Amino acid sequence: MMNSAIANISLFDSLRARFAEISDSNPVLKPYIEKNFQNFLAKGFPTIKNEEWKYTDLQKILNRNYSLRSSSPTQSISPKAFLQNALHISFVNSAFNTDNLALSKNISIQPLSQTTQERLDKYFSIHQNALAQLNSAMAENALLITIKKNTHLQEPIIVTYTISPDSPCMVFPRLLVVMEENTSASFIESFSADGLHASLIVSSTEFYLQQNANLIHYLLQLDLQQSSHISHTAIFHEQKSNSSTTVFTGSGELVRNNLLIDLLSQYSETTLYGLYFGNKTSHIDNHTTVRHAVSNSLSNELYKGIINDEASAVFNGKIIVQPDAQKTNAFQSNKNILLSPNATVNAKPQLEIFANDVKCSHGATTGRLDEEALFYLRSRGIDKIQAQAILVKAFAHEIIENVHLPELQTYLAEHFQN
Amino acid sequence: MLVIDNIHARIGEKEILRGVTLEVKAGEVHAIMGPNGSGKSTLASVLAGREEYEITEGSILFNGKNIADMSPEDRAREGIFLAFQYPIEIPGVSTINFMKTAVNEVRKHRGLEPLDAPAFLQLMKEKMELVEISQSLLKRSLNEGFSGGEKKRNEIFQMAMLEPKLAILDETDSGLDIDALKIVANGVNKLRNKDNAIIVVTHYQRLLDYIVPDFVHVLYNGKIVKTGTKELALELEAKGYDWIKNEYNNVNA
Repeated sequence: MMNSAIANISLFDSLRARFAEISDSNPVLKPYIEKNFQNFLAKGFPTIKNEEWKYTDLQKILNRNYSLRSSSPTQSISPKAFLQNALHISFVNSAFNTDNLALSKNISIQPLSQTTQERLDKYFSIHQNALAQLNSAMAENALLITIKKNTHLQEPIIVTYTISPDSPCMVFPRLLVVMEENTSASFIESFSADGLHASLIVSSTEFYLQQNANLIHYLLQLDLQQSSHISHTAIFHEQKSNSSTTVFTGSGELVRNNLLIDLLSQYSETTLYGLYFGNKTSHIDNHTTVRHAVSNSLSNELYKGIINDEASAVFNGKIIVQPDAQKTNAFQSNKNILLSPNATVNAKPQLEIFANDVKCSHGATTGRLDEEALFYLRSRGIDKIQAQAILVKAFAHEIIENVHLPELQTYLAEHFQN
Repeated sequence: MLVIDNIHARIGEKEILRGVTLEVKAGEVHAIMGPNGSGKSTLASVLAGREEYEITEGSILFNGKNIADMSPEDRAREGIFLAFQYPIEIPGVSTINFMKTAVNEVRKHRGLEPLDAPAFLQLMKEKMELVEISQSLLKRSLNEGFSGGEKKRNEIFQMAMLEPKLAILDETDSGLDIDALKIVANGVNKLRNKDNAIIVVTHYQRLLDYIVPDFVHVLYNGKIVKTGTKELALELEAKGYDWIKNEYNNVNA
C-alpha cells in the first residue's frame, strides 16, 4: 500500500513535469489541454472504488516506472500483409509519421496544433473520463484527419501504433477524424508493442461523422505482448450517418477499452462488434456506451469473448435512451466461453431508458463449450483438442464474418484459430 | 464383431442398463426396440462413448478390443458410428469442413494417407447421391436451420463418408415423414454389406419395413427381455408393449 502510494506520487510528479514541457512548447494547445489536465489531477487515476472500474485494478500497472518522453524506435516496423495498398499512417512511440503519404486532395492530414481556432473549439472537448483527460493533456502529437465532402475512399486507412522504446514508457497517441458530409471511409487501428518492455498505452480516437458519413472502424489489439492498453474511442453521429466498429483483442497484460457512440441526430445507425481472447493472466475489459439522444436511431451490439487459463474479462454495455429518443431500436448481446475453471468473466448490461416508444433488448451469457457439440464432433473421430478448436473458431466466426476486408478477415481467422 | 456382456451403466445415481448381453456379427442388422425409458438410447450412447454414462459392470468387445474405456474419438476411428436421435446444430461449422477433418482422422488411424481436396470432393459427391443431399446444404452451418429430414439425411451422409464397421441408428425415424424415411432407409440399405453391421434403435416398427432386421431385441427395464426375428417387431406393432411388461413383471414378481 505504502509502496504503491509512493510510486503514484512519483508518477504524478513526472506527469506534471512532462505536462509543463508540453504546454510550454504548444502555446496554441495550452488553453485546451490545461483544463483537461487540471480535471485529471483533481481526481487522479480511477480506482476499483469507482463503479466503472470495479473489476479493473490499474494499481498494478501504475505502480511501475515509466518514461514519459518519446524515444526513437529501437526496431523498425513492417506493415502486415493486409496493409498493402492502404494509406498508412504510423505512430511510433506516440510520434506520428506521415512520410511518403500519397495524399489525394480529398484528405487532409495535419497536426492538431496547426488547425484553426474554430476547429480546436469544436473538437477539443472537455472529457469526463480521467484517462481521456490525461490523454488529451499529454498528446503533444495529436493528429487530425479530414475526409472532405463527397469523398468515398475505396482503400482503408491504416493507422499503426508501435511501441518500441528503450525503457518501459507511457505513451499518449491521439487521433481525430472528421468525416464531412456524404463521405465513406474505413479505418484500421492496429496497436503493437515489442516484447522487451511492459509499457502502457493511453490512446484516444474520435470520429466526427457529419451528415451521410459512413464509417467502418476496426481496432486491433493483437500484438501488444506484455504491454497494457487503455483506449478511448468516441464516435459522434450527425444526421443519417452510419458507423460500424469492431474491436479484436488477443494480447496485452491489461486492456481496457472505452467506446462511446453518441447518436446525436436522427436516422443514424451504428453497429458495435467485439471479439476478445484472453489467456494466461491477461485482463480484458470492454466498456461501451451507446447514447440515443434523438428519435429514429438504431444500435446493434454483439461482443463475444473466449477466456482461457487464469485470464479475466469484463463487459459492461450501457445503452442510454434519452426522453426525446422515441422510435429507438437498440439491441445488445454479450456471449462468453470459459475454457478453464480459473477463467472469469464479469458481464453487465446496463439499460437506461427514458423514452417509452422504443425497442430494446439485451442478453449476456457465460458458459463452457457445449458438451453435446463436443461429443458430436468426437463421435466422428475428431480428438477432443481439435474439437474444442473447431467450436472456438465457430464461436468467433460470427464476428469475423462481418469483416468487410477479405485480407483482414483471413488474417483474423488465422489469428484466432491459434 | 460386437460382444456386449452383462453391461450395467448408470448416469449419476440412476442405473439404466442392468445387464445387457448382445452379440452382433458382421453382415447382420439388429433392431433394439422397447417402450420409452427402457434404456434404448442409453445403450446407443454407451456404445458410442458418451462420457456422462458410467459402466459399472460388464464388458464391451469390439473386434476383440475392449472399448469400455476408450474415448469417443477412438471408438469412431475403430469403426463405430452413432447416428444421433437429435443431431446437434453447430453455427459456424460447415458439414464439409468438419467432415474433411473427421475423414482424415479416421484414415490416419487406419494407416491411410489423408485425402487431398479433389479426392475428398470426389468421395463427397459419390456419397451425396446416396442420401440425396445437396452440396449447398453441406456448405451451410452444420444442421442449422435444417428440417428434421435434412438432419437425418446428413447423419447418414456422414455415415457414408466414414464407412463404419458398426453403425448405430438412434431413433433415426423419429420426426420423419414417410418420404424422408424412405430416402434415409434407402441410403442405409445401400451401405449394408457383408463386412459391416447395423444396430437400429427404434420405438416403432415402421422403419423396419425398410431396413429389414435379422434380429429384433426388446429392451425393458435395462435388460433385453425378448429376442426374435422381424415378426416380433410386427407383433409389437399390433399389440403394443404391455404384454412384454406383464410377462417380465410376472417372472420377476
